[in-house]
Amino acid sequence: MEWYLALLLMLGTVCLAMFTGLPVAFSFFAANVLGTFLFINGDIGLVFMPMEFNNAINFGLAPIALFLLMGEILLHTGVAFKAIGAIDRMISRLPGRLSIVSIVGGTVFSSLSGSTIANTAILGSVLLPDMIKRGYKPAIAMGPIMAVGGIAMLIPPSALAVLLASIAEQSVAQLLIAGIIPGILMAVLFFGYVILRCIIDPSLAPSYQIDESYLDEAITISLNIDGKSILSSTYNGSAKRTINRLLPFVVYILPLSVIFIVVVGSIFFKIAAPTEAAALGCLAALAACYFFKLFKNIITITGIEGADFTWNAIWKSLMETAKINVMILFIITGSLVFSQALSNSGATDGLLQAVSALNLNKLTIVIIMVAVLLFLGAFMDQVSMLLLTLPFFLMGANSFQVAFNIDVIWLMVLMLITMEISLLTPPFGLLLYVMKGIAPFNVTIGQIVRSALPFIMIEVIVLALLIAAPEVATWLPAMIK
Amino acid sequence: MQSPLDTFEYSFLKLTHFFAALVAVSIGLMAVLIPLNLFIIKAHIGSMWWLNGSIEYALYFGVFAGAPWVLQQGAHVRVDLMSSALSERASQTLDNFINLIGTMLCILLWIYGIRSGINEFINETMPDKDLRIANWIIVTFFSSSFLMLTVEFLLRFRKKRVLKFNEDHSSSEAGF
Repeated sequence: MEWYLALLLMLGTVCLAMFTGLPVAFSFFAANVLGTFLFINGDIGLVFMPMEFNNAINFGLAPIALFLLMGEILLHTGVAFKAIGAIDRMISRLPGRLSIVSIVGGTVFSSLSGSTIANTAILGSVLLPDMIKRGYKPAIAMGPIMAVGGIAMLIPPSALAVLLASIAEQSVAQLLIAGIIPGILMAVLFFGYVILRCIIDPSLAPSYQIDESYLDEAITISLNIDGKSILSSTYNGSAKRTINRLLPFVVYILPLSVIFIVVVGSIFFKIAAPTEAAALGCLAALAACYFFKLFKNIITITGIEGADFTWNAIWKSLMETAKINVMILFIITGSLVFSQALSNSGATDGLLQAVSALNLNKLTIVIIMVAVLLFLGAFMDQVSMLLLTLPFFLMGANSFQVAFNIDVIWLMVLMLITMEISLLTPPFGLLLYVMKGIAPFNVTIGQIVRSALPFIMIEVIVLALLIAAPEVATWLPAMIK
Repeated sequence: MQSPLDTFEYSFLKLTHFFAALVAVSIGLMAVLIPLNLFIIKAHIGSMWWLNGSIEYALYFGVFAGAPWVLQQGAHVRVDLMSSALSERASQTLDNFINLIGTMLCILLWIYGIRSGINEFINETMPDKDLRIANWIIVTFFSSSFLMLTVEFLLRFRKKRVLKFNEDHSSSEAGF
């Protein structure tokens, strides 16, 4: 069979099954059955196929579950909400204050969780009702929440980065580190945009009097055992306003920063491999949550509530992690056999030769790859678009990355940013629908899309910057080579 | 009074939840044992040589043990562009068609799983790993999973299910 017919048949089967509504993993399985039957020894190939699924699952995929677990623990114990509350107290007078809180809070939470959806859901449920109550226009209320939600994909711990690097058989550690600068750059640009936009048009985010009466309260710290205070001290001096403002940050944010330090630090200084770093991150998240529990009953401080740390919350975190992890790995098992069948059919090789014959340069190839991903991202979820294109872009000797000698870390960061953009592009931008689920009923999907547009533009600018200056992404990982 | 099919579905739900709980426990164990192993290695006490292999098996068994439960929960990602554009009745017909395709696909993979298991058993093949579980056991688990997935797809044809699943919101609730 000609390579283009094989390509059409394989991709056509997946896309047709997918768009009909068959779950993505099963769409890949359907293409596998067809591809294996046609291109890998027919009936005999199908008998051997189940063993290939076993080979598709390896130890390198373990951090996905662990990074997801970190975020789930912080979500279900309520610690994430406390952290955002602490940031809310830190930021006092800025144009578009609550939007800024969402950007800073989202960036902080991105460094603690590998889940974009959890990030958006937390920020949306905590901040959006307040924004609407304060008269924030949808354009400035929802956009930052959705945009910053996607940063979790770039800043470690990022479950998607682990998935991408594992499947491409590249260094997970380097990709995790490579996402830091582009992620922070994006957050800074979001920050600058919101401030500028609110200065130009203050009606977007009306300023309001922040209730800061709590700043004048005396600070009492008590140590309690069996419900009885055994030690208590009260401070009512001149520094109480500053202390009251900073105290939630010290209690809630600083302990959480340990999680980021444990994960990124252990990878950066080569103390641990990504899987070990992810597991250490889970323990650090548990320790941080247990620390916050102390402030519930044992240590009471004025204005600090502490957090619930129950077995029920841990169990719920584990079950949610299991659900998402199974869903992702099930798609991966299907897609890896798909890429084998694709390779055996000669489709990847044929496409590569056809593209090579066009005599395009490296930059043009990269731009084409990004354009294909952006197009697919408008209709597909991130895992599907990734697994559908990886056999051509990044996997094996017949991939564009090898043939055109493209820096693999740079290419993977570009892919992550493209996937981040696709979270916001209609009609299938996942975060648009997460936001629709959180927003009041009268907010239309059109309003949500319009609010996301400026942030999509910023992400495209960052993408263009990274294409023009690969060092932005490759400089930091080069240090741990 | 419960019909035999209700009783069967209820038992099936319990079974899938039991497997899901095992998957959750395995993830919890990973979070504890991996740092412990790192500590043992760094302290030059030794190492849990079996851990990496065990995790690979746990991930593999977890995926196939958990897949029917995830399908039950409506948490397998799907592109619902077409069904959301159709009328309720047409969407229901499309769903039935998808369930039919899913059933046929899973039956096919179940059958090939059994054939593969028999083949591996006859040839007594073993994997090239430190921790070795016979290949026929691995493949039998695969085929059992697809049998359960077949059952779940068939149960989806029932109008009054014991379980109310939120299939329509799957794409917005599950993911990274």
